[in-house]
Amino acid sequence: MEQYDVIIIGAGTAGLSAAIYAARSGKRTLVLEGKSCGGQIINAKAVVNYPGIKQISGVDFAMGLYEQAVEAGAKVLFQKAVRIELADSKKIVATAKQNYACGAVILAMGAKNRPLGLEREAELTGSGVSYCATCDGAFYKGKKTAVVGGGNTALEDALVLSEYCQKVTLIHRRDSFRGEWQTVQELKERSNVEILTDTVVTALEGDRQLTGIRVRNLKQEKEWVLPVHGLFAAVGQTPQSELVRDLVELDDYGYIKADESCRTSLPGIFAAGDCRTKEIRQLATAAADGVTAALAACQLA
Amino acid sequence: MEIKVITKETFETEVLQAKEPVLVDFFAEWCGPCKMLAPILHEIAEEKSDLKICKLDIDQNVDLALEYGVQAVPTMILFRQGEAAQKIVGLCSKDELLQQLSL
Repeated sequence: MEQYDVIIIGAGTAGLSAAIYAARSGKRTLVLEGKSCGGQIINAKAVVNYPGIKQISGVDFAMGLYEQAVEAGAKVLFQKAVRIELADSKKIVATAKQNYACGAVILAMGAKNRPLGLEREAELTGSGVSYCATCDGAFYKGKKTAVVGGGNTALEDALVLSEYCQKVTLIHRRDSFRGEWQTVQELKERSNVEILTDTVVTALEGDRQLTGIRVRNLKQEKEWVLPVHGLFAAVGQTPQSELVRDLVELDDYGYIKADESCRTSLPGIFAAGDCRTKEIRQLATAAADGVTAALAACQLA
Repeated sequence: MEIKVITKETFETEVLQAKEPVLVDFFAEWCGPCKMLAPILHEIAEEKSDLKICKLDIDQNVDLALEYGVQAVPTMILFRQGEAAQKIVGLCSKDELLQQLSL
C-alpha cells in the first residue's frame, strides 16, 4: 500500500492550501479529488476580496493553488475517496482504484449547491435548470430567466444575468433580502429586472427543455406560470460530508464538527473549509482552515 | 505519453493518420474550464500508454474547429483511424471522461 504522512480529501481552496503547507513541511502529501481541482471558486468570474490580490479570476486562482501545491511536492490524484478506515494508528483512505495509508487525514470536501427540491429538477438540470449563473448564464443571452434565492449569490446572479438576458425575474420566498442592500437597489434600477417577493417556485414546465416555471405568491395565494428558458437556483449550500457520516460527528445540517483548530471528534482527522461547522465561509477562511489543519496534522504525522 | 500541442499543419499526420486512438482537446486560452481540464488530461496521458492526447487551440485553428462542429470549449473528440468517433463537451471528471470514452 502506498504510504503518505498526510492525505487531503478534496482539492478546493482549503485542500490545496493544506497541501502547500503539509508538503512544505516535508510531509509526504497526497490530495485526492473526484472532480476537477479548485472547488467552487472556479465558478467565480472575478475574485476581488482575497487579501493581497486585487483581482483574479476564480480559475486562475485555483490553478495557481494547484501549481503551487504540486511544485511544493504534493501529489494530486483525480480519484474519488470512497471510504476511510482506521487501522491502529494509521488511517486508510480507499478510492475505487486503490488504498492509501497515512498518519493524518484532512477532510476538505467542501459544499455543493442546494437543490430547490422540485419534481424533475435533476432531469432538467443542464436543460434550463442551473446552479451557477456565472457558468451557464451565457447560454441564455437574449432570453428570459429567473433566479431563486434571497442571499448575495442570488442578487449577484440576477445582476450578472440582467446584463445580457431579455428579462430576469428574481424570486424570493420572504419579503426582504438577506443580501446586500446596495445590490438590491441596483437591481431595482434595472428595467429588465422584476422582483417577486413572498413567492415560491412550485413546478417546472417543459418537456425536455425548461419552458416555464409555476410560481405562487404566498400572501395573495395566487399561482401562475412564468415563461422562462433558464432557472438559476441560489438557495444555499449543503456540505459534502457523506464520506464521513459514520466516522466523525456532524452537526444538524451535516457539517463536520470541528473548532477553529480544525480537529474533528476523531484524533488524526481534521476538517477544513466549507465542509466544517463555521460562521464564515469565504475564500480566505477556507485557505486559513487549510493552513491550520495542515500544521496540526503535521504534528501527528 | 506526453500531450502534444497540434495545429492545422500537423493535424493530418498527428491525428488523422495515427494508428492509435487520439483524443483531441479543442481548447481556448481564455477558457477557464479548459484550464481545469488540463491536469486531468495530464493524469490520463500518464496512465494510458495506448492513447495519444493532443491539444488544439481553436482560435489559432478556426477552420478545424468549424469542420468538427466545435461550438463550446472544452470539446474533446476521440479519433479512431482518422474518424471522429466520440465527442464530449464541457468539463467533466476523470472517471466520467474515461467512462464516456470507454477507455
